[in-house]
Amino acid sequence: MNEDELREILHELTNQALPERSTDPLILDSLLLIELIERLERELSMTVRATELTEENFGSIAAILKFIEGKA
Amino acid sequence: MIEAFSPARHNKGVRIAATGSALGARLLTNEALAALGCPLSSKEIERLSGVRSRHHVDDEQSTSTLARDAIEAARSSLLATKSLDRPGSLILATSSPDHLIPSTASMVHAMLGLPPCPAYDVSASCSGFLFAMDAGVKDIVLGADTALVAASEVRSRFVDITDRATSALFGDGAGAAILEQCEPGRGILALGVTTQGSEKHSVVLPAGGSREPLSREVLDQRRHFLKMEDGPGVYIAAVEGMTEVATDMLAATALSLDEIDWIIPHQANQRILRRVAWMLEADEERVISYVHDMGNISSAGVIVALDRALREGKIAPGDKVLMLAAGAGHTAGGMILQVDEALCQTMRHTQKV
Repeated sequence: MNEDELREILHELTNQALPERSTDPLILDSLLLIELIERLERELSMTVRATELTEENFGSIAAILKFIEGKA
Repeated sequence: MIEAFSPARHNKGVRIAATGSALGARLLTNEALAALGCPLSSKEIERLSGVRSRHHVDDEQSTSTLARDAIEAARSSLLATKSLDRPGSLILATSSPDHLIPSTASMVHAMLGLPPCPAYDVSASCSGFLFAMDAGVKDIVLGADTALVAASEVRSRFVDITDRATSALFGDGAGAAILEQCEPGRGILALGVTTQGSEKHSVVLPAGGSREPLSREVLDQRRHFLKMEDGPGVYIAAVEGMTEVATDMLAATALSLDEIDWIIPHQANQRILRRVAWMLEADEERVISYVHDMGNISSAGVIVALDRALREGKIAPGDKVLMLAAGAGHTAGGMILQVDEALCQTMRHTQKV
């Protein structure tokens, strides 16, 4: 998944402006974060563990992309 | 890993003779909840949780009256065939008791007019019913003829209607099971519960106990309401807990998931139920869910779901049912039950809740 594809998913979920730079903090409501996790798991056939729900993995668009890459 | 308890290993058998359930008298749709001040729209609630309506208690009801009604429903199903005047114990799971003192079970004991027997509450949040079953099943194995096991919750009185994380999820209700002896190898095939203690609590009702007694300040800060601080973490950890328990129960009975006819996970919300099916690689049609019209009734969810499925004739004689739960306090539990012909007949003769 590339940055554009991730941004498209995030835009669908939040319907709000996203940070311009991928390294800027991404603030997601907890309910939306659950929806994002479900989308990523189903589209990428991966599983997110409770211990992986960290700022380091979900704190920015770049962090999410790095996390996904690590799961591949 | 949970070490499962199997009555057959003690050359005993424990079966469920009847179940019963009762829900709060006030039906509350998502639209009605939004009108009361819930910060989510009706459509958002359904999209996020799968809940379309839930039942809340009216002014006359409480945790004890719901438990009484659920046990009475189970008892009335059985009265034609046998007497249940002297249960060996009455065990009630609840995390929303009528009072801190006395136990809600003791109040239910009085309401039912039972003769003296041990009656006590069990607190294990959403895993509570299976914790209560663990005690009830062991009572039967130790020689009691019958045990009354119930779970009852009135969460609506502990939820802040303005809290986006919790206000739309919870409903009020109770379920009950009457346990009795049977031949070894029948009825309850395996049962296990566990707690993996942690200092971190994502689901907590902060005030009203000894650590933080009620005060004007506490009320102003709304700390007497349930808080869920890490929804995504709770969501994922709950499913991890239930899938691990499922694996342990299957291993204890040497059954494969293909040999399980129905799965009843904790009725938390539809997303969690879907995720349990996905993680177990089970067909979603085998997962029993009543989340859409009762919401999350915490410990009572699994037993109310079993009761409804039995009364609707969904579960057939011989079917194996895997019940799973996970809850606050890092609790989890599981049970494999083989439903017999007598239970199905008992339940089909009585009305739906």
